[in-house]
Amino acid sequence: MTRAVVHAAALGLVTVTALAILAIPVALLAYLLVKALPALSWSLLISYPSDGLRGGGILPAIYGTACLVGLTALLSLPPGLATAIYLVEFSPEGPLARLIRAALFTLSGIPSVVFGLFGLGVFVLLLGFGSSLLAASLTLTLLVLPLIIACAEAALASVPSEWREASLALGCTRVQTIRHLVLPQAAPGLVTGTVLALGRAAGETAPILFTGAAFYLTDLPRTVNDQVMALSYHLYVLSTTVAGASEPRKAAVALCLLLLVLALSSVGVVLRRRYLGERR
Amino acid sequence: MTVQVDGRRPKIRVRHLEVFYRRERILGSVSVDIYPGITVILGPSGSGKTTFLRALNRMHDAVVGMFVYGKVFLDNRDIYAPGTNVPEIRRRVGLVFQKPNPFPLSIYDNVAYGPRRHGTPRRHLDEIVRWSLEQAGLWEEVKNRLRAPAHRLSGGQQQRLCIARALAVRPEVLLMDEPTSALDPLAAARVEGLIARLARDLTVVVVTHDIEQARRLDGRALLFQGGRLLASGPTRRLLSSHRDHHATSRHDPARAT
Repeated sequence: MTRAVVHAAALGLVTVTALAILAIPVALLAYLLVKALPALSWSLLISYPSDGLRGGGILPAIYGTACLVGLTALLSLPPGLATAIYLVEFSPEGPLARLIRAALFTLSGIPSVVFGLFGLGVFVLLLGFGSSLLAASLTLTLLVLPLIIACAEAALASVPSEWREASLALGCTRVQTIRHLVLPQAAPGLVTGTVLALGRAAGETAPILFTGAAFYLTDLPRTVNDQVMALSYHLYVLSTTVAGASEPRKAAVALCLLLLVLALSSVGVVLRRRYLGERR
Repeated sequence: MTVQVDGRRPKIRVRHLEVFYRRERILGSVSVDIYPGITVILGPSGSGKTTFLRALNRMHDAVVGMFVYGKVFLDNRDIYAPGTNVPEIRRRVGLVFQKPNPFPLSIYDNVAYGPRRHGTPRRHLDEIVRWSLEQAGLWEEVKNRLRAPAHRLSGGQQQRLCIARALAVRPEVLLMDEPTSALDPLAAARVEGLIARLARDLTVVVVTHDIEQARRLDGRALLFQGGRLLASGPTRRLLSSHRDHHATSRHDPARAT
């Protein structure tokens, strides 16, 4: 084989692979869309399930997922941001920082079902929260914390140290510098990271399986102590437990979940774009 | 033991100042007086000029692994004494960096940043911003676009903005780390003229590697080499007596003393 042929073959191979990667999300969306078409309607989004989950809408599942994502955001952002600020602004090389980084690395490698069991043991049983929105959100918080911290760290670290030094040289304290200079500059990156992490949380089933996801609710949750339905778990239920659930219906639930996660991710991407656009 | 120069007392007295980075001594024992007006700090790269400068307002505090020993008296108060309010020291002793580093904010907000943090009432801000920009010789160029982003200014304008930002907190001493080295010759000349003007009211300490600049700025000079203070005195006299050392001399006469 001549060198040119090898070159052409290699180029062809990487191009085809890259295109195949592109085809995966497109195919997935198209497949779901086509399959779900017969089941798609407005009432699916805004009404309660009926007929043993085989008919009616999926409003409680959509609402439940939104609650889970919202509460997870509230629970994960403050400690995530605080940890990132500690790691970046106060002790980037200290022994405690190294220990924290090791812990986060370990945490990020744990399978989500293990988080689910941990949540069951600790939040549901030991702390007595019961199977609830709160216990499920806390479990999801554990799952997304490493991601949020990593993103927040990157956002904080992207603020040039020359600006910090200039602020300190003006006689500002470190806390003032973080509050009035670093955080405003890092804010877009922080939002982006949080949104991406929450997209991840929205799609998870295993962590909420034992900690707060409900099979079937006729009412929306009112407090954090109530159980919630969730899109991810609902899809799992439809596929495994409910006999006679129609294929289009399953596809419609999957499509809803996918679009929700995509929407969250694209909000993150748009924010990032706008942020970078303003900088130039 | 303090010597008066032109009937003036020293603004800063440095005694046995040493700076270590991890285990290595990068600046070694320096004792010198700094008087109101201009002091230029000369020396080859890596001679400890910048290290010395940043020790004068405790900027090394922020760097992990940096240790400073000795005393630096600012108006008879040791800024390294335990319990010192470091931000207060830095407000009194400002620092202008080698590379212009305006905040990614408007021109106005850059200058107002310091006063705002120090609790200056909002109604005084306009006045302070204007005064600072005038002092920095930038007011006429920017007075109609105070809300424009600072990064749209030219390099020389940015450096003068940084000087205005430093002046806005009314420092008594202004430290400048090669403030013209990142600028084109014309912009550098403007900043240089500005430095000379500021030195009439303030104690200005300027690091430079440009001997001609040092000569023009006049005042007093400190000559560093190999992490030591080689000599100090009136700039012209120092330059004529140490012409050889300043350029590229390898050996270190300071060690012999």
